[in-house]
Amino acid sequence: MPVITCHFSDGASFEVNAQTGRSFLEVALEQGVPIRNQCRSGTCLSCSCLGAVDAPPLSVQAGRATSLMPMERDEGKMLCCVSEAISDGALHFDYSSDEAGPSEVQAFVDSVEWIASDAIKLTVELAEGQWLDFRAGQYVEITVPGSNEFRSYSMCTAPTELPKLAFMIRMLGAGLMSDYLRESAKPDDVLNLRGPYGDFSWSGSRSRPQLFIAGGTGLSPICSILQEVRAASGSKPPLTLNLGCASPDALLDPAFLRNLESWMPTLTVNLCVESDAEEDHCIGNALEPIDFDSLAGDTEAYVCGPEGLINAAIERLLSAGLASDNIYYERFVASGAV
Amino acid sequence: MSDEQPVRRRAQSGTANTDAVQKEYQPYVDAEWGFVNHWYPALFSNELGEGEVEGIQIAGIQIVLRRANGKVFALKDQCIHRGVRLSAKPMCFNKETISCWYHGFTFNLESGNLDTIVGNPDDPLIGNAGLTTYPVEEAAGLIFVFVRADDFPDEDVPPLSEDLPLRFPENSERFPHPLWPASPSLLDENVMALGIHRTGEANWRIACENGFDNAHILVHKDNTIVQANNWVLPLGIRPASDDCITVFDDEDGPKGMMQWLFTDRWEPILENKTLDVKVEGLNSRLYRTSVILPGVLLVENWPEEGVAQYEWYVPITEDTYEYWEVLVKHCPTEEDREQFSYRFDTVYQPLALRGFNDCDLHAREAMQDFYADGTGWQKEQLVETDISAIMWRKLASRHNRGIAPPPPGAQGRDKASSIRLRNVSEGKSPGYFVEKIDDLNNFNRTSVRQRNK
Repeated sequence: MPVITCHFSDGASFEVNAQTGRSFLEVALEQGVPIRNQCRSGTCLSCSCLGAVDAPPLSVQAGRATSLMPMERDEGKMLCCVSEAISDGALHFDYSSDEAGPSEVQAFVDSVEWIASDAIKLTVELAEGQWLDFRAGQYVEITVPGSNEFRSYSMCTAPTELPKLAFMIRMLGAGLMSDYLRESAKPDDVLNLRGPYGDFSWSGSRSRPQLFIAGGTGLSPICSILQEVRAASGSKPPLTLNLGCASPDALLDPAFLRNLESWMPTLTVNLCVESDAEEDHCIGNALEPIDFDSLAGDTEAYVCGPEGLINAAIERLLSAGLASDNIYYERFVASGAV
Repeated sequence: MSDEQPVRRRAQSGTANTDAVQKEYQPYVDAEWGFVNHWYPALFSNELGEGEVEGIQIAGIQIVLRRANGKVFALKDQCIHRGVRLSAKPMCFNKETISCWYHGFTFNLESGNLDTIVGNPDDPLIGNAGLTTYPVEEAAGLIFVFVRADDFPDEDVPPLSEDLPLRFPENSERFPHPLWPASPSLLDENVMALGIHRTGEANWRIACENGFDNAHILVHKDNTIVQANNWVLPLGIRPASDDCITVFDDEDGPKGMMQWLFTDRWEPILENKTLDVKVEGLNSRLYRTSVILPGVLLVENWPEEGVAQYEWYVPITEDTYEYWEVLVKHCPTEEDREQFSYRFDTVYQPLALRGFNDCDLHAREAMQDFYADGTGWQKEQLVETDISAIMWRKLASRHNRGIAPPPPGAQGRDKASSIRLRNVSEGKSPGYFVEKIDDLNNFNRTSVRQRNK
């Protein structure tokens, strides 16, 4: 049986133990090779690749046809779907094996708005002709204008809101990005974004209780995930969001969170503050409202915020009997703090 | 990243995204194209005979319906191959499938699967692709379709009763109605439903809010049905108590609100001194309105004793809706049915569904331009009688099962498409039904011919 190596533009390569007499695409997909495809009938060109012209590793199956032009065939272009492997060799695909891999884009500032005493919401729009797909919960790196430094921020908006993106950003007393946002950021500024990064995302479960624990601007990716859950088709699981902040004026956009609660019948929002609690606040951090003794065993937990909160949350969730596989977290490190 | 100077995206057409604060009922404001994952009336049963095929559009989703062996099936009316509407030129080789008239892609009515391609029966796509199916229920002579997003799971499809108004007498204790007998429901036995549906040129929300707006009674004072019956209507009705509306949102029931009209919770206005206008000898028909998701109105005790009027404002595009007016009555005997039918033809349809409600169509159209670009939701100046609308908007924001996205490839998405302009120039308004091809041998487009001469 021929062995064929598939090379992708990101440098990744996959070896396929091919079978003569079968569509190469089918065999390669079975072995986990991320070859784009659509019609699987030799027409749409999605699965096209390049191979050696003198010793082609693939040959069009008997009785099938392709939409390749003669000059393309002469260059060694082949379609995996209606071809079978005939000899060992290499195929080259001109796209990344990781479709969701990071890219670099430019975006225009739409607004910079204070949403708490020490946090702002930065809203941007991707420039014409530029795009950046992401999963709810992921983050991007934003280069601080006028410097070569970048900072990482999680989107608080859902992918469906693209080309708009927004970020909840904690403002430091002094810091490169904080200074920029506070002092000079204005609509139509151009920002350079790179991403997306991160594995923090919704499991997609529509039956298990979902517990979201956010400390400060750790709310940002959780907001994005909640919007994704809201837009998902079908029944929704019970949802709990605990947001913990130092004081009531540091709570991030509580009016929006209360709206979200009224738009999502299965969502409960708990606002937690360390001091000066008002009527509808819990006193303490974002773990305070959780009754760990009666936490449903199949709960999935999402934790995002400062290191201390994450460590405490993981420890208590594990001892409450949650499987470690069901605890997702994203550590927020205050970069550039002075 | 490109080295060229980045360029801002051109402003999106359609809804203007004003800078104003997000509304507490923002999801409702976002639902320009309607709510999906709900049950909507699609056709009257008698509009789809055995073997017949019809094409419609709801919330931007094109749907083809076919009745085979008595049962109605609904599929996405957009062939997976090249997007052709199957309903434009129905082609069915058997009772189990419907085929696209262009290349013969043949879909299973029950599962939506691509069962075969007429001229290409060995294509590998067969069995690996298909069209979204829409669950169908028939009740009291109406065909209801569960209009859903492509990925809405079968097991989550709720029963039709969750998207129909409250039933009586089950709810008579909770919502007493001492002034009239229990209203008939579409799901009752021996019930007869007669009605009409037609296309209105306004956003579905404008239409829906008109349906239960208590303050618009003024617009109806000159209607024939009012004058012929010597009804004397109040100038307006204002909320007089904080419990004038009751929200109901039981877990497995319809989600909506009841307005306690003709109780002391609503005050009829009989005089306006500024204008020196006075109403004497109030003699209004007693009725009550309730509205439920996804936009269904129940008017109890209307237009006559024992009859209830149901209305739907089914979104077609973001500026057209199919207006359904259905009268429901218990008719246990054949004689009852004949009488109701006769009265429907001679009185209810001309005087109530047309005469009375035609002035509502005028009013909805009159509001449309103000809301069309989205700014009206910010600019409207609300008054106390609008609490009904605002409660509905919040309720709808909470309990809708999904907001319809601006649909790709649907009729009416591109307002200035050449086909649309040609149809309009030929006197055909944008509407609810597919435009069928009558004669494949004759592309009879007089205007095109003349221009090309």
